[in-house]
Amino acid sequence: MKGLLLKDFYMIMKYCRIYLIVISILWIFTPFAEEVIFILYPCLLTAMIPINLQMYDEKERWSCYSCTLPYSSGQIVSAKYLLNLFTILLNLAIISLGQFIRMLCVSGFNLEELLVLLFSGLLISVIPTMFVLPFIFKFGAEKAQLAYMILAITIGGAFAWITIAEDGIETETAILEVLQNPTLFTAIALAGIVIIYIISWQISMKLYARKEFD
Amino acid sequence: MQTKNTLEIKNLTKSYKDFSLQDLNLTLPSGCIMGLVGENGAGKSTVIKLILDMIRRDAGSILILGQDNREHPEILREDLGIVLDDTGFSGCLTPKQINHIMKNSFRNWDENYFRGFLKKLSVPDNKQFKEFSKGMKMKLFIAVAMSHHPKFLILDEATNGLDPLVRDEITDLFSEFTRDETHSVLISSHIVSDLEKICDYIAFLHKGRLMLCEEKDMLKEKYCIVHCRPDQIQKFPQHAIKGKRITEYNAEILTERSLVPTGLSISPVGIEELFVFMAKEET
Repeated sequence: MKGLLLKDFYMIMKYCRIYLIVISILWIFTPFAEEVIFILYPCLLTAMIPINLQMYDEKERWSCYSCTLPYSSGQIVSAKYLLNLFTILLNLAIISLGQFIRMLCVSGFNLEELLVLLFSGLLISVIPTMFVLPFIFKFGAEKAQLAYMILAITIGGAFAWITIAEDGIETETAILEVLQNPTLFTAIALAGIVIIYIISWQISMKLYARKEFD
Repeated sequence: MQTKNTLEIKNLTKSYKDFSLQDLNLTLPSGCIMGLVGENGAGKSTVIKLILDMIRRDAGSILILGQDNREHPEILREDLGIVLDDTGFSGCLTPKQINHIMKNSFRNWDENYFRGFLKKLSVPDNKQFKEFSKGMKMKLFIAVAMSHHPKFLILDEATNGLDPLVRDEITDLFSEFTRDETHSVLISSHIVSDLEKICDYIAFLHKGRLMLCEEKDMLKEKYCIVHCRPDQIQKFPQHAIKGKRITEYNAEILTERSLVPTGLSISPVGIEELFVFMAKEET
């Protein structure tokens, strides 16, 4: 799989250069900024990298060419997920370092605050990938745009339901209770994310194995 | 393990809404080059994609180097060199980067061979793939396909877009490749003259059906063109006429040499002519 990862690395350096520049600038500001945008925006951009690369692969007919190389469909899919994990971890590590420095300088180190921040970043980094990649591997990048919309509507709808609906008051209270215990919240949610991510990975592998390249 | 046949296709069937490949049987012995000839839409690319399991067959079996093509295809592809007309590298990649990618993909990747090949075909090392002409792209694909020392080359329209000189050079390479008796080539092309030059076997596909698959020399020996007047056609039994071209004053009949009535003038038939005659007769 090294060859596939190397190819993606070359593509990132060429096609995702703007992303890298913006992310790097935001990284520089991380130790000085309290605004959550400096943490969440690099995460969002990081999430878009594997999706973008897969779109290029399809457009440039690499998806078809990769079928002629000594890789299984599972390895082709896994390369994108591994790349996603690697960029997420790198991004979160740098953000952690920045936040660690900021906390030390401003208010003293607060582990719970850092965990919540990192968890929010992780959530934003993995949600697009784990929901959209299976659609891309099944239907292709163009048709998967529908998945983006469904995802956006679902997330928007969920927030609306929690905050507006009368029936949601109890749910909202329950969520707030969990949020007041950040360690518990982080642990539960992290486990949930890991499970959903693995399921997404498995689904993508199964869908891609059945794909035909006409 | 060396197998007698590099490729064995039995009763291969694939159906689409508007096209179907029907009951295809094909055998390519080791050490040989087989040319797959057919008009646009005849099913050549479908056959090649089925061989590579890029599309799923409805029925039949495909053995490559004695192994089912669906069992561990990723291992099998170490022994295959593949060039497809409608695939591509990422536009931003240079041959130099492609070399690094393939070095980390194929167990037997031969860097020096690849570099030498690019030099021989005048492919620049540092230019991006998207800046290449069609011919240059094809040369690069061929270099990649051959640089891990495969046993079986599968080429779909691989000589398209190349000028006659390069085509000649490339086809010579394919011939040289099969000097090793464990090596074989399956090549589809519209340019029948290329196939005629290098192929040992010719397979004619027409509208998803294999019209014939025989040794090239045998075909040339077996068939001929008979030149006669239109009224002399009746001399031929109906089953003997494999194809015909009739004008007001002349008739040309494609038939087997053994079935030619005495006293008529005959001429040898080329592979392209043979295909055109047969395909038109079927239509």
